[in-house]
Order: sequence, then structure tokens, then C-alpha cells
Amino acid sequence: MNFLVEEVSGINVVRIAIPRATADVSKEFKSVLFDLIDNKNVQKVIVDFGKVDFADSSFLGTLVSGLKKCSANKGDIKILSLQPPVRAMFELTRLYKVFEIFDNEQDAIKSF
Amino acid sequence: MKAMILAAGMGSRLMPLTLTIPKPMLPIANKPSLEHIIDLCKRHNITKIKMNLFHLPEAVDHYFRGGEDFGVEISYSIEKRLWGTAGGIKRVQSFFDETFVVLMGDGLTNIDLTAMLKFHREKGAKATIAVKPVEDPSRYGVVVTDENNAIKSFQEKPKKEEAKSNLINLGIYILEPEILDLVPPKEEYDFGHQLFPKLLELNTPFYAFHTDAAWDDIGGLMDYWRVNLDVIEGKVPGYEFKGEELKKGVFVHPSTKIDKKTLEKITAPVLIGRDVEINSGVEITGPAVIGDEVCLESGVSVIKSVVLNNTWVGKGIEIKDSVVNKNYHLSVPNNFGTYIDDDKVLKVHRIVPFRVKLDQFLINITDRIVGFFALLFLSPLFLVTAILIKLDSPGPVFYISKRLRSPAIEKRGKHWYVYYKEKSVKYYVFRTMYTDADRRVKELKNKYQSGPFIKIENDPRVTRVGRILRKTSIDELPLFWNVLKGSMSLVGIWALPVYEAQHLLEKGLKAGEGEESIDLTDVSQLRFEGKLGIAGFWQARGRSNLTAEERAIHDSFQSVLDENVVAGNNYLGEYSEFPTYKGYIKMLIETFNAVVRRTGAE
Repeated sequence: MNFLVEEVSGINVVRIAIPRATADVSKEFKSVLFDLIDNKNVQKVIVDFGKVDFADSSFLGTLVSGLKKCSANKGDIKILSLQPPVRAMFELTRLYKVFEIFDNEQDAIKSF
Repeated sequence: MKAMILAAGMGSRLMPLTLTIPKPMLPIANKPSLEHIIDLCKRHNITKIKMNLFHLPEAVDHYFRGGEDFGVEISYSIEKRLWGTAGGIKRVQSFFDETFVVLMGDGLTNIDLTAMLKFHREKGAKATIAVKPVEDPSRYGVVVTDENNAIKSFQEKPKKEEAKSNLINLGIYILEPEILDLVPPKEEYDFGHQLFPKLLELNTPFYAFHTDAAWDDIGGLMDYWRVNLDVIEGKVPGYEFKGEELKKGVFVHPSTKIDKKTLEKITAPVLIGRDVEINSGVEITGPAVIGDEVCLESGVSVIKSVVLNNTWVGKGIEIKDSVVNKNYHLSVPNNFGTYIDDDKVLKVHRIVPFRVKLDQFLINITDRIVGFFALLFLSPLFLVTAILIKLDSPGPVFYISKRLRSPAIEKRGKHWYVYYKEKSVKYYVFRTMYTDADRRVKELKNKYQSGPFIKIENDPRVTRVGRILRKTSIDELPLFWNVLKGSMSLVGIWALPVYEAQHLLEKGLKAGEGEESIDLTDVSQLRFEGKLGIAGFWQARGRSNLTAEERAIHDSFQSVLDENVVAGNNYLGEYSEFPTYKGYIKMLIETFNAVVRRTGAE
């Protein structure tokens, strides 16, 4: 399993369990995310990047399409634990302006 | 006066920039810091320059050569290991037969060397150190002087309250040649820690020259970024940059075309280099430096950043408070450097001259034509071979060999992370081994040979038919299929099997023994940058008779050469013809002859 979904205080946390979140796993990530939003009607999602060394633009694109879907459902996706190389990608692609980013899981949960 | 420029540092605090660019070659306002230092020498009529090099010396040699284009004479001292600041000069002592100045190649300064020399002569000094007062000397070497500016003592990085003076050593020295007699030969030796205390001990006339010149030793990323921005903000007097001032504070190289609308979105101070492509909707907010042959796709923002040469920046990307070099992104606020393995964001951008494009086109066409006819003419032979293989041993006719274009590389430091994806190709060759051969290769490798290249004589894994196929090289003929497909050329670097590539990468290579041994690790890794092919330098020069080291060097030279020919520069003596079409044809003929003579095969 490349992605683990966990419920913490009523919020769904998607933990990315592989070091490289790239095009190779975008499709799988999409199905995990869309399953939560479409089938389980989840509104509050946290994506945990704590174990990720690098994320590419294809993967981040999937994350944005998930956010669009979630917003349409009046929900939100928040981002947790960015390692410096992943943070660099969020900055280069200007996604730091789109997502709320947290270093601490409790803060992320409280923010909803 | 002559000059010694110390350019051997590793620049480890500027990783991963310095993985590919030696620190003195890192540009400040689009010019290597070393070039600024050479210009400084020239301005003060110092034209005979010696430089010591260690990390990636080719890059420096390639740029400056003998100094002809820079109006000076440059010679080099290549160090196989670091000898320290004074030790590096001792090795080339015979060059210094008159008063000479020692400068750092990776710093920035506009010090008045003429005035310093005058001071040195007036004082009758044997050694003079340039010093500058600073507010907080705790990061530096502190120099304590008397009222006549004679040096009395030194303090290394003292606490601010313990510092006996606010004068710091700038690492710029004027020395008389006899000073070098005090440096022991063949030993690592340092000015600050060893030679200068000795001068004090011996009561040598030793003085401090006060200057208020601009000076920066460019330690880490923050310094490097800051210095670039300072220079284009005009904070460093004496620095002129090439370019036309299109509007106040916006300097653009004449070869770069910028329309009015784009110019409106450029906020000074900005310096833009040669042959830069700026697409619609690009915004540049100064202070910012854009290097040579950079391409900014539409909607890119560059804010308070330095974009180095040959960088392509993808649509809509924002570069803020950063230094970017090709795929490398270094964020100043995060103090972190990352290899961005995503060619929609950052990649290498090169402007290929027409001559090179034409040659590449001709090579490509020839590859396909020769590949097609080779397969056609060889098909009867293939049929016979296939039948023989089937009759001789159980298993398929072809063997699919996974070869690495380049292996995966993961490197990290406290402030940087680099990961390159593995790139592989599949080669079809005739099967010459029993079907369980790959499994046993590790054992055999340990048993027969320590080097990374495996060629075992009378290998028990090889079938009877296989032995004949190998001897005649018929086993490799299906490679023409890859040539026809375009996944390899007739001429290029041999793609290594996975285990050999990994071994070369991890263990590296050493040539020679003891003191004289050279570490070829950096060199051997260059091979992975070259284009793939059937025949290369070592195949053309006698097949497998060469040692592993020789092959690695041949391969690496070939890679370097591919790069440099694209850049429009030919060098490296006999290799300079490749990969021009002429060189390609020559290599084909040589390889063909070598194969016919069957030198070295089995």
C-alpha cells in the first residue's frame, strides 16, 4: 500500500507511505482521494507528506484536482509535514498559496 | 608582480551547486568569480597568473585556457589532493621568482592591489596581509597590529568580546619569493595556522595593509545569493556588467530580445545575459540576475533570485528568494537545495548551433540506414544462428539485457537532497549463456575479478554455440535493431548492465598505486552523461584488451566531448573530432577494422 487512510478525530488523514510521490503513483493517489470524496462523502482531508522526499508536478496536479472536487463538496484539503524538497515544489508551483500547510498534525486537525 | 589564485576549494557549503560547478566558476552577475579576480589582476597590471585546481579542474581549464581571451597568461597546478593554502603554492615555487600576490578565486573583492604593493615596498615587508575592520570579527581570522601596522599576533574566530582587534584577514597576501623557503615541501601547509605564526616567531618584516574595499568570501548559499544581488544593486563599486541599459537599472545583453510589453514587467535592478528567451507574461522583480541561454516560459515569475546559465523554467513557475541552476533549486530562506526531478518545472536548456544540429541529423539518418541494411543483410545469418542456439541448449534465442543509461543516484547532506531516476534501455542480443546465468554472476564476479567490468575467460556459463558467437561478435549483431529504433547510435558509449553500472557508481575507480594514484570516481561518473552507442573509443581501440580504468576514461572523455561540442567548443586533442559527422564516420571505420581483426575478442 502506497497510501494509508486513517481517521483521526473525525478527519481523514491520507498518509503517503513512499519516498517519491511522482507520476508513477498519481493514478493510485487519485483513486484513493476521489474514493474518499465521492463515495464516502468526506469533506475534511489531511494529506500527510511526512515520509515523502520528493513530489513532482503530476502528483501535485492530482492533489489540486482533489481539492477542486473537495471544495465543490464544501470541504477542504490541508497539507501536513513538508520536507524541504517537497516544500520547494509547493513554492515553485505556487501551491503554497492554494493549500494551508501545517508542520504539526494537531494544528492541522484543529484548523478545520 | 605575479599572482597566485587559490581555486582548489571544494565549496561543500554550496552543495549541490558545486556538484557540477567548481566554486570559483560560480557566476557573480553572470561572470565566474574567478573571472572577476582575473580582471582585477589585469587592472593592476598583473598578467602572469598561476592557479591551483582540485575539484572539477576541467571546467576552469576549459573556460580560461591559457588566458589568451582575458589578456593574461594563466598556467595551472592540478592537485590530486588538497595541499592547503601555502602547500599548494610551495608545489609551484619555481614560478614565483619575484614579489607576488595571493588571492582567493572564489571570493569577491575590488581591493587596490597597486596601493597594497606600494605599501608593501615602502614598509620593506617580506609579507603583507590585507585587513579590513568589521563590526563582528567572530567569524574570521583576527589580525592584531602595532601603531606602525606591523603584525603582532593572530586570533582565530574569537568571541566578539574577546577579540583584541576588529581587523580581519581577507586572505589577500603580498609575499616575497623567499617566504616560500619556510614552507616545508610535500606537506599540507596553511598560511593562517602555520606559516604566519612562524613569520612572527622569526621576526620577519610582516605588515597589515588596511583597506575599505568590497570583500566577501562567499561561504554559504546566503552569501552567494546576497553577493549577486549586491553587485547588480550597484553596492560594489568597480563592477561593470555587460549589457545595454534598456531602462534604468535593467541591463540586457544585445543578443537577447525583449519587447516593450515584457520590459514593462521587469522591475530594476535586473541583469539579463546572452541569448535569453523570455516568453509572454513573464515577470521579473529585481534585484534579479538571469544567466546566459536561459529560457523562461510564459507566466514565469522571478523575484529576488539568481537564475544561472542554461536553465529552462516551466510555465507559471515562481522563483522567489532562490538560486536556480538547471535542475537544481536552492531556496535561500529554507537554506535548502534540491534536484528538481521534474522537467515541467526545471530542466537544462541549450542553444545548439546549426552546424551541430546538422551533424546530429546526418548521424541519425546514417544510423537508421546502416541499421536497416545491416539487419537486412544479416537476416540469413540470424536465421542460422537462431537454429543453432535452439539446438545447442534449451531456452530462448534472444536474451533481453537490461542496461543502464544511467543508474539511480541518491545523495543528501544536511542542506541538500539529490535524486536522479534510473534510466535504462533494453538490448536484444543472441543468448550465449545457459538460462540461469544471471543468477550466478555475483558469485563469479567475486571469484574471478575485482574490477567492475566482467569479462571472464573460459566462462563456464557460456554455451558451446555461445563461445563461437562471442568470438565472432555475432551475439551483439541484433543491437542493430536498437540502432534502427533510434534507442542507440552506432557510435557512442556502451550501456553497462545494472550490476556493473552500480559498482562503478558506488565504488568508483582508482588508477595507479600509492602516492601517484588518481581517484577517477568523478571522471568515471561522467560516462553516464554521454549518448549510448555500439562503438566507442575503447571498442575502436582494441576491444577488451583495455583495463577497466582505461575504458572508464575513454567513456568519460567521450561524454565530456559530446557536451562540449554542443556548447560549440572543441578540445581534448585527438577526441575533438567527435561527434562531428566526420568523427563519427572515422570511428565507424576504426571499429569495423578492429572487429574484422578480432583483436582482443575472447
